[in-house]
Amino acid sequence: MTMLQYLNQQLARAPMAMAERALIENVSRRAFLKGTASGVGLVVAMQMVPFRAAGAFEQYPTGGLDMPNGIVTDPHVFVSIDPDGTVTIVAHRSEMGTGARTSLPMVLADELEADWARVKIVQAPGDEPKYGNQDTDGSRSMRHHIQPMRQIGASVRTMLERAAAAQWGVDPKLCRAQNHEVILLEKVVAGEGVIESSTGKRLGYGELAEAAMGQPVPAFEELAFKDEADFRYIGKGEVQIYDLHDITTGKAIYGADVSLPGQKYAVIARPPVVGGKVKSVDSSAALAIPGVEQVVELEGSMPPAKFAPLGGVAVIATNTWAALQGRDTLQIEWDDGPHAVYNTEQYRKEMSATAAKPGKVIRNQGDADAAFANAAKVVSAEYYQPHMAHVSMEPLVALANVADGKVEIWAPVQSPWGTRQDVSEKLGVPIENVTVHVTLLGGGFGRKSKCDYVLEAALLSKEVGAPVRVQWTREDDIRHSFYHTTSVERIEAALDGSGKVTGWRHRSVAPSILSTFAEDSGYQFPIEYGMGFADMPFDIANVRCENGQAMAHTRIGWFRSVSNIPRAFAVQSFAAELAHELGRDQKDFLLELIGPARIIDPKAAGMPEDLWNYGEPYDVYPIDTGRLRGVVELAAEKAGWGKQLPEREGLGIAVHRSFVTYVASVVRVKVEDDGTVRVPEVHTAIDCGFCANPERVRSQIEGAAVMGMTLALNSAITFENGAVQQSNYHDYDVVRTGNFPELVVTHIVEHPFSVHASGVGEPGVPPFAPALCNAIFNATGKRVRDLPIRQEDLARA
Amino acid sequence: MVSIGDAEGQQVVTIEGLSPDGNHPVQVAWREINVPQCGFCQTGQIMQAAGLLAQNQSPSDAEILEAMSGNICRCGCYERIVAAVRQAATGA
Repeated sequence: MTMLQYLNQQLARAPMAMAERALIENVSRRAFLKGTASGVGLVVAMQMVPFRAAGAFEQYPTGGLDMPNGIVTDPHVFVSIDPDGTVTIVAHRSEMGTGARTSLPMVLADELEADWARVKIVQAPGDEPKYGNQDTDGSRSMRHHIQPMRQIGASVRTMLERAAAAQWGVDPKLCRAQNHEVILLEKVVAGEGVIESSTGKRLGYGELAEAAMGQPVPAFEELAFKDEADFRYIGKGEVQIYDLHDITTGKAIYGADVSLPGQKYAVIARPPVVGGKVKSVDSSAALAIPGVEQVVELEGSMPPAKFAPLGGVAVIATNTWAALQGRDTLQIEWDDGPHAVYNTEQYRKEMSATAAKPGKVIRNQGDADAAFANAAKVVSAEYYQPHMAHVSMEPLVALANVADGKVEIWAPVQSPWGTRQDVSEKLGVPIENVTVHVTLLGGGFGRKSKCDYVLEAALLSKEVGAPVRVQWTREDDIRHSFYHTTSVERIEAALDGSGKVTGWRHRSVAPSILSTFAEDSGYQFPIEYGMGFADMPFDIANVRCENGQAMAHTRIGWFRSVSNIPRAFAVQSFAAELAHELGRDQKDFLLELIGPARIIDPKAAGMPEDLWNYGEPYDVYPIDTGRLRGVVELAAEKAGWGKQLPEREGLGIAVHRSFVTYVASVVRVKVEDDGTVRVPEVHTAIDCGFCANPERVRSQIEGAAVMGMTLALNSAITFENGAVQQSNYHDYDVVRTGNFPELVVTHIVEHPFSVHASGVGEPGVPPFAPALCNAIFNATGKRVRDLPIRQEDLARA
Repeated sequence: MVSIGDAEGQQVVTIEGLSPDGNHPVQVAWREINVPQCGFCQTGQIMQAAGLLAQNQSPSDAEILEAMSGNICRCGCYERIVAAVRQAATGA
């Protein structure tokens, strides 16, 4: 289940039972399950009996089956073959830098025995009934789609073999697809499938294309899958991203690269405070600027309003520059509304006061009160993180053309079908008359899952009767985001006389993403509880997790890694603080807290009944402390944990499970005399199950270190009287080559296909900041509990 | 950084004009090292690197870091960017 699906349920106040939902799932999905547990419903299928056959892989259920519009495995939807042999594969997920647009077709092509040099990729428009779920977030692309891509590839390969068999008039067993052609074998040893020899007869995929695509689609149980040892591309990391040449020659198409004849250019002055309204506007100066054609007032919204535009005043012009100049001259008086009360400093104090008091109990294991009452010593600490904005390099942009009762959109969106639904609803146009084309995304990080910028373009195109491109500036992007939440995480530990941790109390106080979608209760919801809070994996007998109330005053949204960032920062910093308190080594003590290798039983651990496990069935993706330990030990070993370092240098470690993947980082820090924090080396160990594209996993981990360093050193969105105080990179800076993680070494835990592929895009971020701060402590003796790190606090005295 | 006003009457090379076949040493190095993630900033990064190498055929690491420090990559490809500039300069 997606976050959005969950939220929609909340809105509907009528959560559908799992079984009911299963019954309305699409046919393709049932076809997908057919090979495993035919004749039984999904609920049973969730614990399905593994399907085994010669050359098969062991199918397993994922949360992909529960996503809106589920999984589609019809080869006709994803693959076409031209008579010249070109194999065209549809990429139905958005490309924002993770490599999904390459890696998923690569999996399909490998199982199809296609020659990658003859593969063409086309991007799907938003159409989930056709393609299955397209919502590119939650680190789900490979995790949910590696099995379907293999199935589709094997289906087409089988169809090609059968077409060749028909043409030659032989038993299909004698036809073997291999590297873009089907070879006729002389004979095979009965029952064994061992190839004796080839006849030398062969037919290329192009020659077979028409007949093959006319073959019936094989059922799953008819398919033979490639042996892992025979993979050409999967697991090798040698296939380069499909758009690499275009990117390096300026030909890649992003949101602002699409133009239509007669299109207008719009920029919008949005209310500085969320929920604010235009009281009065004087646009006479704007209209006097050459190129400015119209000034249009847009209706605003007050949260909860999902992705509705913020409203404001749009300037429509014949070019972006004129529109920007026009906007600068607008005289607008705003009615800020109730959220003008939002002031970061005051809010932080309130969160802190809330965290000092008992909150709503989310997890209760053992008797935490007794543990604290009987403690020989209690250690406590409070960690703070401000709001953050995504600041993708490509600012938000969308082109819309509303004409003749139809809407056509070109935009960099993470959720093209969700966008199509929202446009349809907002404009009152039937969904079949809305088209959403997906360009490359110049970064997304969760911001481009929220289509307010597309809705603006659609509304304006309808208003002016011409195609309209809405262009956001960097300032717009920073001031009008859906921000990563701000939080206070307070943790207390009860220690007995021997230094053993007997009790753990964690209070989390943070405005919730839910407030963007539903009436704000001030409390978080299971998805946020499940991100490093209620699922805390330490081997401690008495644990209580409480959530204190925090009302939202801005739009809260998901940001790469979401609540895992503040939770990993707090939990992993606190683990190191305890180690110091007890005079123990950070790494050894961390392993002791994790405890022995085991599969955690959520019920026995007092975790919530509806524990969020990233939408995955718990028995398929359980919390496995053996794998958590494994990445700690691997990262520590590779980083040379325990080695002597020069003065004001240090190593720090942190580990975190998120998106059902296990990541540990050891950061080496060098703190200069003026407090400048440098990171000469990082070792990150990642256990993401079977790894289809190790090269792109490494690039994600390298990028996660840079983003982690940015959020630790630079990122703070603050509010004064409800308005964001930052505006561009001068006051919301990101890490650059002047000071960046100079060497990031990624250590991937190798697994066979049977160890289920898990998330990659997000899990690298959360451990970085705590590992860095633990390293800073080892280098300087100074403990950072507030992010971002203040350089002056670390200067040599 | 050159303001657009100062460029009046000057020749400006964009990525489209860097190499007729897209095989400028910087572009080749970029591909060999698989630098890009989302790719959006890469045109600017490549032009910055090509500009550096046009003025300084064998920059030191410090000079590379300095020359590239104005170009932001939110995906965080810096380590590979620096490696690619180094490779384009030395051919190794």
